Amino acid sequence: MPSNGDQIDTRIEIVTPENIAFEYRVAGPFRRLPAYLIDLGLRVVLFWLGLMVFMLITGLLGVPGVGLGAGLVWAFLLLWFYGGLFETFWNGQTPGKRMMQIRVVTVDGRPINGLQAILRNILRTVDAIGFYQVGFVSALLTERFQRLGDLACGTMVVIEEPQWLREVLRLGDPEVTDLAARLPYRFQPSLSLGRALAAYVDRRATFAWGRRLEIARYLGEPLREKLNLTAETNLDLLLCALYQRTFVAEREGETPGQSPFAAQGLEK
Amino acid sequence: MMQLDHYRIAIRQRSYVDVLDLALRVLRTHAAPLTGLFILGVVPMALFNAYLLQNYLEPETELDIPLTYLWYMLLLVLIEAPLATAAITLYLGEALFQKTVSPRKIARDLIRTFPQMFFFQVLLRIPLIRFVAPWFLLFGVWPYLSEVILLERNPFFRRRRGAMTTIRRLRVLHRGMIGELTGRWMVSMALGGLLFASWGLTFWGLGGMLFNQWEPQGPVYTVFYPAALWLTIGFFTMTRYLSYLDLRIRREGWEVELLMRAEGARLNRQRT
Repeated sequence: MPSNGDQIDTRIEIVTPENIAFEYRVAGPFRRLPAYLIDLGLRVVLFWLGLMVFMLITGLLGVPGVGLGAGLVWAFLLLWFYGGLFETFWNGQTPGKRMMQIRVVTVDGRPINGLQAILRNILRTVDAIGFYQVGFVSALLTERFQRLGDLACGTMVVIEEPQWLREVLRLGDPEVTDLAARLPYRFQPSLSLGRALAAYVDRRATFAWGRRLEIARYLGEPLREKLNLTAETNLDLLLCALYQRTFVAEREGETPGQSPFAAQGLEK
Repeated sequence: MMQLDHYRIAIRQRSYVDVLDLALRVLRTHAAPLTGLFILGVVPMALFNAYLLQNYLEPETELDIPLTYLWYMLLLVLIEAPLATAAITLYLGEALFQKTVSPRKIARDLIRTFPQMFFFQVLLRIPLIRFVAPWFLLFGVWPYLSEVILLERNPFFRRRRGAMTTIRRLRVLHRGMIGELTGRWMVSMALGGLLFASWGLTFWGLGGMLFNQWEPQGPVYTVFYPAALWLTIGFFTMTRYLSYLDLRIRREGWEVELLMRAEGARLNRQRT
């Protein structure tokens, strides 16, 4: 994907002390809201369950007042330490965050420690001032969508993006197979060309016919010339054929493994 | 017309929550012009509403709440919102896809599109808007009506056979997406309610702390309530524009087109 640093996006780049750069997608307040609501609901359930257990036990022992006191201590612990303890022992995640696939990390991309986890959750009370307007405004003004608790602890919340292999599509069209067989074997697509082909084949079925040809033309025309194909060659078919030759044929062992994709999948 | 060569926003498919977060990033990057256009569009409408509803401020219930005033204010804001925020949509179209933003062009487009905006967004809505039940039809079925009128500028009437008109374009753009768009509309209604409540209560709390005025009267109805409504509308104008982009990205494959163009250009450079 062509891009430049001036583009508005929720991605940020982090460069480690070892000079390795990698990208994160930071989670803003709206991405974090469902996780917060899940955790809030879970805390309410845990509180009532705990209170019932305490009341039952102390009621059986004949000291129900102690059960109520224990329930208040339980509520205090849930209110102040639920997030901090989960984030400490679950590597920056609470149940809500895990379900929403987000994680708290330090601003340089490392796992957070216990102190950061507990402090950022205690400082949530400051962010909650004005019905979370303080946290909202803070997230709006910072590059990494940090609320005050995050700013104080040097943390941020990122979206976990699992890397998986793009499924190879088998096009099954005889015309594609025929054209793929006629493509010169000396031509091996680069990684970026392979990604472009995979993106096109993955999405082409969702485009109207006219739009499909319009998009295929940008890459299909220079490819057609480079491969010395006739002007009648259908550009949509050409891209599909090159995809088939690059990915499907390679996987089925029909051609020698020269392509850079032979040993590795494409990241989606 | 949007130019994909000069885009200032990362083009890719996004979930709705990501669109909402991206709106915050857009607001941060273009804070000054967006605030200016918001004030320019909203303040005259807000003053007009205050003048129109000044006689409805009398409390009507045992709770001392002027319900008629609150209801009419909500309806007026909903009717006026597309016109009041049209300049913001036009600005975003220019700022995110053109090299430079021309205020003159925005003003010209605003005037050019006014007849269609007034017809679709005001005249057609007025008879139905006082009933809550058809709100889904008014706001949920063709949610990107304003964006299509303002940014694509198709004619109202077909001048030649097969030509694209506003209504035809709306049908094409929204076709097959009603389920997802309805879901998004419901989520935005819920989030809009939350944001409105959050802003409204914050203003109320600030007013209470600064002026020791905790009773819900005077400024709570005349200032805080419409301000919270308009701020919510303003924010969702941005998110609606970004959702419109997202829909076009998915329907028309902009991110694939950009990849194709980049690779095509690379091959052409290799040949020459």
